[in-house]
Amino acid sequence: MKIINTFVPCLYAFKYPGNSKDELERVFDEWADPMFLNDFFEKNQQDITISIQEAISKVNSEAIFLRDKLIDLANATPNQLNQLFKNLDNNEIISPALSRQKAPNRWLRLYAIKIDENNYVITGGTIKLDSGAIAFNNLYRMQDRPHTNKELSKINKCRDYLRDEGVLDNDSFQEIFF
Amino acid sequence: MNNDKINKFKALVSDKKSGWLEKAKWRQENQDWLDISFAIAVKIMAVLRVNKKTEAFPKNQKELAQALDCSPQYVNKLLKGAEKLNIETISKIQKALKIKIISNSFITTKIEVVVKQEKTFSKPKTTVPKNYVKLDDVIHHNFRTSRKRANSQVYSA
Repeated sequence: MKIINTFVPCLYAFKYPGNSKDELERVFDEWADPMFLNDFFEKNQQDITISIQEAISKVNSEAIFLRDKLIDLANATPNQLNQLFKNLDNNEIISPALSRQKAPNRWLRLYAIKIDENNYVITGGTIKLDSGAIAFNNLYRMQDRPHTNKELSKINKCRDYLRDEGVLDNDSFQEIFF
Repeated sequence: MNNDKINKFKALVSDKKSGWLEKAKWRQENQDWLDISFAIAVKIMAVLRVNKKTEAFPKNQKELAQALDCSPQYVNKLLKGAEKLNIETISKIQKALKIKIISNSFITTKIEVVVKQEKTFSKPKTTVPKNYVKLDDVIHHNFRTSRKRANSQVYSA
């Protein structure tokens, strides 16, 4: 796997073997792709309380919001990345209340490992449907759904890689909320 | 984190740069039409989903390609939500899926187009270069001064 520069000096992204895109580019391409989103929500319809059409539209709006915020960030000095990242323990079970408090009704997530106070590496991202029906009926863990579990597994692999390279010595990863 | 670890980390960073920013700026600049293209793609897939349930035609991308008389690759592009659709394609989609994408309700008055038939004139016996066309009480225009029309057929009234 490779680590590559993004658009600001302190934000990096992993690029996995066999992928032509780094993780930042990949997730935003997926969020702008109606076909991908349609398939995603057809598979995860049990986790939404709105129609698939509305869900796709919600993701599209969030992705545009997130993109514009990142572009603003790219043009801002000094670095304001810290505003975007919030700590989330790896094994934490997110209660509906906590979930809403951290990211009110927003589904899009970027995951990053914090190297130090100013440097972050994006490991991936996904649509985390922890609001709506699932939030009211259950507690939501990343392990509970294949797409979030896959992201968790990527975070763990990246962390192991950075540990093996002698870069990382803590266990925290970051979930980016807006 | 000490400098040693940061240096180790930076040594792992490839000299390649993410393609994200370039794409993000392009999407931002083209947001208006991308929004429309995206919405059309979502609508098409919603109709295909309903058609699949009710066994109506077209119910998948392959059948939609047949209905639109285009290649499955084009339908795939269409459903990616970043295609600049022309009016003909939009009309075909409307017809094939029985949906309304563009409404002509912005037309508030009826526009009647009347084409008047050109009168038949006999060719002049003289060679007087009266270089004009006479239409039925509509146009009297002398093209002699117009270089663009220099090859117009010559008639006399």
